[in-house]
Amino acid sequence: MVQARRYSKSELHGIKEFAGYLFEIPSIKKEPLLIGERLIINFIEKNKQELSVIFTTPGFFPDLAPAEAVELILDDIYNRVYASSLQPINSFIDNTNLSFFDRFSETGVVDDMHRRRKLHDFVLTLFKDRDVRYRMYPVIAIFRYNAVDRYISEIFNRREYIYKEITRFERINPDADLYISLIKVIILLTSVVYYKTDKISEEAVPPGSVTIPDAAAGMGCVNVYTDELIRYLTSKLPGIPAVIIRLAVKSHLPVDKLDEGDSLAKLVYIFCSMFQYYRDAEKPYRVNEPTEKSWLGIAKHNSGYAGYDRDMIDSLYLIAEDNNW
Amino acid sequence: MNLVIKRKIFQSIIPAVIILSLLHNFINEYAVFAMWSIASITALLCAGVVFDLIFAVEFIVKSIKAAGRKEFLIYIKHKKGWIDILSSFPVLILYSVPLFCLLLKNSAEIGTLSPLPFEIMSVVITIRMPLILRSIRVVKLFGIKALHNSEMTRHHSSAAGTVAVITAAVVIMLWSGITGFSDPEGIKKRSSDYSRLLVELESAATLNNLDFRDLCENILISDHRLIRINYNNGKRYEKLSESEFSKYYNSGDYIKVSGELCSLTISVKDLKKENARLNMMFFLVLLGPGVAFMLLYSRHFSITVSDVAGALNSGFRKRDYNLMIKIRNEYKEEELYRLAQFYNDVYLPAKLRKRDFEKEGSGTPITMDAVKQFDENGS
Repeated sequence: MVQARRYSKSELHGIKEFAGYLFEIPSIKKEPLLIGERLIINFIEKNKQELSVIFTTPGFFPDLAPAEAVELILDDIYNRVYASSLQPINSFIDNTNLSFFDRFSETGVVDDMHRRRKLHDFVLTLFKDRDVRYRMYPVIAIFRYNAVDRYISEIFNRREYIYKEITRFERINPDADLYISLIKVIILLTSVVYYKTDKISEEAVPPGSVTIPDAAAGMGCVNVYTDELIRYLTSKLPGIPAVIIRLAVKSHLPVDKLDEGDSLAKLVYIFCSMFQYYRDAEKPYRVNEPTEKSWLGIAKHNSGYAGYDRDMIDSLYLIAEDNNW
Repeated sequence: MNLVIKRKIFQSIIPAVIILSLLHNFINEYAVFAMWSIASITALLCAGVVFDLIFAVEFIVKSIKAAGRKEFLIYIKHKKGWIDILSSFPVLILYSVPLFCLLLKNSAEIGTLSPLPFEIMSVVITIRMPLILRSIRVVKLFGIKALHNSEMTRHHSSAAGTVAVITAAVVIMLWSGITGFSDPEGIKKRSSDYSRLLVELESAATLNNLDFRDLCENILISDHRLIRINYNNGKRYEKLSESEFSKYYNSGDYIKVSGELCSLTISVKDLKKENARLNMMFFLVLLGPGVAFMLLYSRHFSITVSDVAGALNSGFRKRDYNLMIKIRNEYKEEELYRLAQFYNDVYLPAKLRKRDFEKEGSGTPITMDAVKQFDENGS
């Protein structure tokens, strides 16, 4: 991490201006900040050599070593992305009572403040990891667009297929607010599957630095990684039950690889897929369906290919249609 | 930059002038209908001449520009040049210029003018050509970009609206021609009616040994068309004072009927009022379809056709534009909507499958040139 105090105000101002300029380039400006960051970093990594020459010219940062300039730029970009992305998540963790997780616990009660602090720290750890951060776009979009609150409230009002499927936990009341919190925690933890295995365990698990989806796509030893990951998370997140962590880890899997009781994982999988590329459509035509209804309508056709629970998609489609989402 | 601003100003001024000219066209007729003062009517006639001049100049400027680009025929045929010329020069040459000369001279009645231009003007007025050609300027408003962003909507609603307005214009002109030239209720009939009445009054006075003046005034006093009786002995009977007469009556608003013992000044304003009423009605008949096509049909076309085509175009071309198209039951069998159905059911699912299949990769839309511009912007 670069120490800001080592640099003059004008140098830092120049860096700030340059980072701001990059986000204002039209092709970046139209993207969400998190995606913009990835595109900028892709550019920097691709053009490191040429940039190191340009950065020393008078119009850029002649008083900084190119590597320092790049570090400062990346820092500034991260700060911008952090400020714009994590507020809804922080607000959720700060203001939600998660003590209902104690009902699942087999090891006793955990102080809720401690549980939430650990959860916050863990989310921040994921967010700081650049590779995982890029994969967190759907999570951030789900929180930003309040998707869980909207859909779960409707699901509990209708009490149809999805309601029957997800309210199978006997230990908690079928209460909409409680399920909203539960699903949000699962969603916050889903990105952990993109954490490289070598960061989870110091023991060498072949083939080394991979993510769970990589392992699932490449070889059959995914269960080893999954179990390792759940063990790791259970130790990192006191008060978050293993059954919930397991659901979070499984929520990147298609329906045919899930058990019948994994309905929450199926629903989270759909939510994350729906918000994977979520953008506010620029100037939609009056004849266009709304964004979420469109995605769900298309998902009906792709449910077999993508591994969505078709009945869930149908129910969510009706909700989006009735609410013009 | 300067050129762009100039073009924008020109593009916003012309529609404003068109709307003003259409308003003027209606007020011009209303002034006759409501029997406004001669000064007001004259001012309105002069304004009409000015509008005709403006549109004639607009046509000349556009023609020169189009000719400079070797696109004169394209301008005439496809960019409403024919409307520009039709709504400016014929009315300017055949009506406005002779009328302006007439106003300057303040000469004899329009209906009895002998020189050729004035006779032509008389025919032109009979077939309501000035009113109609000035009214079809509404067609020029179809191209306003402020109303619809879609080029397709503007084009099709303009074509349909133009057909409707021009058809109505031709029908009105034909109808006016047929009825105008064969109408027995004209100024000539009124003149002959009063001539006959005068002869009858003179005969009655002679046969019954009555005072002609008493008889004449007793009979005609209740006639609202009578303005003045001038007896041959120098005496006169007036319903309007001289000042009121000159304020509200211009040449053409009255006729003089001479008998053996007196001459009558008879108002024909009621005929002009009726003609103005018809003109206002025809103006609205022309404007109605124009406005309806411009506001209602174009909106319908935009929602049912051009928006669908636009949404398809965006969906086919833009990676992140993946919104389905609403397909209403009543349209689902139409060709465009069948394409939209295919787009919803096959194209979009395939597009999203392809996108999911592609790795995010290390691509970037930023170019080195864009980054170098930071330096230029900074300095």
